[in-house]
Amino acid sequence: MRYSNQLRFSKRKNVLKNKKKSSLISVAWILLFLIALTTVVNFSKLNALTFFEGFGVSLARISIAYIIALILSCIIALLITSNEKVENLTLPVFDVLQSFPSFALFPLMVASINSSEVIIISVLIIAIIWPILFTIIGGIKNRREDLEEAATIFGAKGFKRLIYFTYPELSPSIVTGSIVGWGEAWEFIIGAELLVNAKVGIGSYLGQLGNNKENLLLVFGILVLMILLFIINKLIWLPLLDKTTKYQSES
Amino acid sequence: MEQDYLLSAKNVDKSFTSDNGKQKVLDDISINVSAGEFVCLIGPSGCGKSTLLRLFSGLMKSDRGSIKIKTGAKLSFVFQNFGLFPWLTVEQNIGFGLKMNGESKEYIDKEVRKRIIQMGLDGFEAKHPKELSGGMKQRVGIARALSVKPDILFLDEPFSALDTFTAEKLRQDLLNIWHDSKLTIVMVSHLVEETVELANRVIVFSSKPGRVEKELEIKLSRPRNKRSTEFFKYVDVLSDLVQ
Repeated sequence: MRYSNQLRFSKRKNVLKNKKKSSLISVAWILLFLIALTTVVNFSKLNALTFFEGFGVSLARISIAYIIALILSCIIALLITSNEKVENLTLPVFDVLQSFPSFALFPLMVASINSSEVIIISVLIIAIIWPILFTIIGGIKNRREDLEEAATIFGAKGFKRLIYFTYPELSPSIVTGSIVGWGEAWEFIIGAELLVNAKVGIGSYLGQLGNNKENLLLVFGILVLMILLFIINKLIWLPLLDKTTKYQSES
Repeated sequence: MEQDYLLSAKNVDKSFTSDNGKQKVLDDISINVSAGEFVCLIGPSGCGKSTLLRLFSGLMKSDRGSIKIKTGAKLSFVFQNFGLFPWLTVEQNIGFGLKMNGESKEYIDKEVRKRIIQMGLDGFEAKHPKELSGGMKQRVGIARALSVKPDILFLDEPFSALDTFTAEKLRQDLLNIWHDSKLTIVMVSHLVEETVELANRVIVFSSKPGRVEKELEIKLSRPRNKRSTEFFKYVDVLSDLVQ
């Protein structure tokens, strides 16, 4: 008894120590990158104001597109998996649609939509909805039957079931899909902003640098963008992933 | 006459459709369970006993026949692989049913606390299922099932994922719970000795399709001595019936 207690205690201490250690390391990383960031911005004559304004606007566009894509993915995934016949009919269609290059829709959008903001956000939604949608569908297909039954037995119905059961059950897939979608969004926004000639945006800014043949600044700009995305990953996505997957796999 | 039964199934059929076509798993099942009984369903694997439990508890619908449960009787379920929500702590798992029923926080806290003490889970409240041993997980599973104050408790091979010693301890705990409360228990098992140790009545199933082969009352006084000659007689008789 005493030994097992001791073991339990030391185990816990180790876990705490590891937790402290890992959070210290990530804080150190972020600090290091912030220092690198300011150094790069200072020494490169990168126009910090334009750069961060562009980054902020692009970030806002991506966030809006991401939220819309996420809501749409959840609704579509739940709808098509709720009925086996619907699922068998729609999944192949989605599979084909998925491989359709989203930039191919660009001319059509430019011709039919006036606002460049709407065009950019639409392209982003079309690009990032697929990884999110398919990971959520995958999550739904891999649901544990006994958990579904337990939720039913213990009275999880309707909206309450959605909030207290379906959402936590699917959150690992939602976060995994989101990380992929979010990454793709940054890939697509550069192209989208360049194509519609958006006035502000990180893609427009980097495009300008490229057009003006300021190659060194362009490299620095890309470097700073990478650092910023790394920080977002480290501060938001990785903790979310850790939180949602921590207790999921039952041994 | 029928109103006296807490649970009554009449001429129940159930089939599943798979790639090999339609397969009948339950054929013309009629079972009655009175309040306070401890009934065990036993049979070879594939005899549809787990399916029958799911029909009883409303998780599935039968193709034919009727299943009646006394109006107002509350059901609860203990799963073979525990069915605990991995993202919730022990406390939250136990209180899940109460939360879904819209009980107040004070009531849930009090009720959960009671079940934690009852099932010997003191000190594990804040743990997640992943951090528990199999025996502890099933304790949580039983505590969760009891927290909604059921009239009928269904157990689907609750001890088959556990080692022998843990299973034996939990069997004793289950008997104590049954003894202390007015609970009615319907349990699926594939171990003959387990059913003789626990049940008032054992219903033996034959397989493919599942049919009620025989009902046997276990007329042993409690606590039951697992080494007595009478005990082994029942084990022998049942073992012959279960093929």
